[in-house]
Amino acid sequence: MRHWLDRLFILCTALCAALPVVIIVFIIGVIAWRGGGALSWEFLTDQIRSAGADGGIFYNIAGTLILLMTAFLVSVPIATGLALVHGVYLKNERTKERLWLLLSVLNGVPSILFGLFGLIVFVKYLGWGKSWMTGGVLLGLMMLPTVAVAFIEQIKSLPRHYIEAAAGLGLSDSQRVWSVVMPQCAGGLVTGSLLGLARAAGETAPIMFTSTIFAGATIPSGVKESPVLSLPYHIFILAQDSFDPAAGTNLWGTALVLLVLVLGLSLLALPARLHIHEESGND
Amino acid sequence: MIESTLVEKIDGDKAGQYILETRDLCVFAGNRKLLQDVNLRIVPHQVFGLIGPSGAGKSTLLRCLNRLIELDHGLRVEGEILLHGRSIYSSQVNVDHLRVRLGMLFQQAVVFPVSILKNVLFGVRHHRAVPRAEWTSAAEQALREATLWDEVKDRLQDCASKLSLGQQQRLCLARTLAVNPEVILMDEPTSALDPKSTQAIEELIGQLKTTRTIILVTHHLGQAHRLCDEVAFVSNQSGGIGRIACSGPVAAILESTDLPELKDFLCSGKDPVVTCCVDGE
Repeated sequence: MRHWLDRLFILCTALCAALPVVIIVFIIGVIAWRGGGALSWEFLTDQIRSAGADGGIFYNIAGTLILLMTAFLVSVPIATGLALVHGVYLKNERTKERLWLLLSVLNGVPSILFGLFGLIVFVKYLGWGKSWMTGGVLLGLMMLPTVAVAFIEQIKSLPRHYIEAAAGLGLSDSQRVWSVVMPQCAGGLVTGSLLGLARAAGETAPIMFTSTIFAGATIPSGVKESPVLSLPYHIFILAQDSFDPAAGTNLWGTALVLLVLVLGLSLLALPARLHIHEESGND
Repeated sequence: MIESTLVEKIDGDKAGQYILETRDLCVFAGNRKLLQDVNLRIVPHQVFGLIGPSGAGKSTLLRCLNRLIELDHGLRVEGEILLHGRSIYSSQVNVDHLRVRLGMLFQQAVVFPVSILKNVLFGVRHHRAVPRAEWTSAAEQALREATLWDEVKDRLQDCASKLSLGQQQRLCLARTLAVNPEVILMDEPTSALDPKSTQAIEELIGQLKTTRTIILVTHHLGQAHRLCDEVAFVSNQSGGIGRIACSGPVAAILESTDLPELKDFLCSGKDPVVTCCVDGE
């Protein structure tokens, strides 16, 4: 009886492990199958025509990359500082707990509220109008908890004897951060940034009324009133408003490009992450 | 008979001859006392041993001496520690500079996951005391002093973790020596090593005391006997609070004492050199 219960338990856990794999493979398969037909050199390099039924998504890709790059530049320095304050400099456990709670709350804020916040503060109050900068900052704030938490967790797992050895050699707090914490914990920062970027890449709500439009924008030349096209908003509009079968194919093609973009980001960072793990593993 | 407490009063005339002194040193974890009234006087160029049972506070005491204990949140130090007669807790003391002067070797070899050369230069490159052009020669000198140069000179760029444990510990010693400390605090540096590596480290300690002062925490009574000039016995039999039960020249402490807790400790030792040597047993 006990033997069968063990087997049943293993079977249940195996099913739980298999389920997300099946779902991911199914999603990727469907997107690849339905979007593959749309992919062509022209689709990737041309601009949008005929309300998405014709032309390509070059400026949507460029706009998304601009938003992601801005989000990365906004979130990573802030998240790094935040994680170092939490993991290295803060001595008071209660303050650390409060900071952690704040990060959890920020992580749970619905993306549409970030959009509203951006609309009120950046678009209206600061007068940026619809701008790539607004979207980038909002996406950066959204991915901030993901990056910070991943980095904090990595700092927590840093062997304490590294810090003690460095302190024993007379390295100051900041020297210990730069020579021990940062090199050893950079993997957490990379992982967190990738997870955050992957989430940010697919977000529509924070950018739809702050930084992106469906058509008529190219590469921005300024900050104020400089919206961009983006992949998720393109998918959103085509899925919602278009009844043209050609637009449907382009919709799946755009989804495939977005998927490849996110996977590409992960693959780009893979060598760096492997290198970091290899060094850590040698310890 | 060995005096049961080391220092009742500091002799003002002789204060200058000690490189390191502790006066009524107490360590607290919250309201709990870990160490009580530790009074030690250590003269330069000797190996001073701290012996005692596990949990008595030897390592805690050692970490007080270069203020590394400040990395442990919640621990509080009272009393005085003097380096060349000056308090290390004075507001004028830069704690990072202090830790350079009082280098530390830990129980486990802590090598950073970088090359052997970078490990040796880990402290040097941050202190800027040695010009960049002389880093390589500084590394060579430190590795020679740690008797590791001949074994690693052809693979300085290899990852330090590829070395054996004994070599790693000597590399850590070389890294400490590279910043030129006056005192080296050693926290059971051979406890994780095989006999051959232990012997290598012990020989090194013997050589190093001609130029530096060494404070050695050890459980190994034979090692204390072989290496130390003086020892202090840290006991925790009074309510779990660590205190210096007695101290003095190593032979006198290990070979003749009527202190019951020291007798218990010596007779529990595994080392044939000193096991049950008390009272002629």
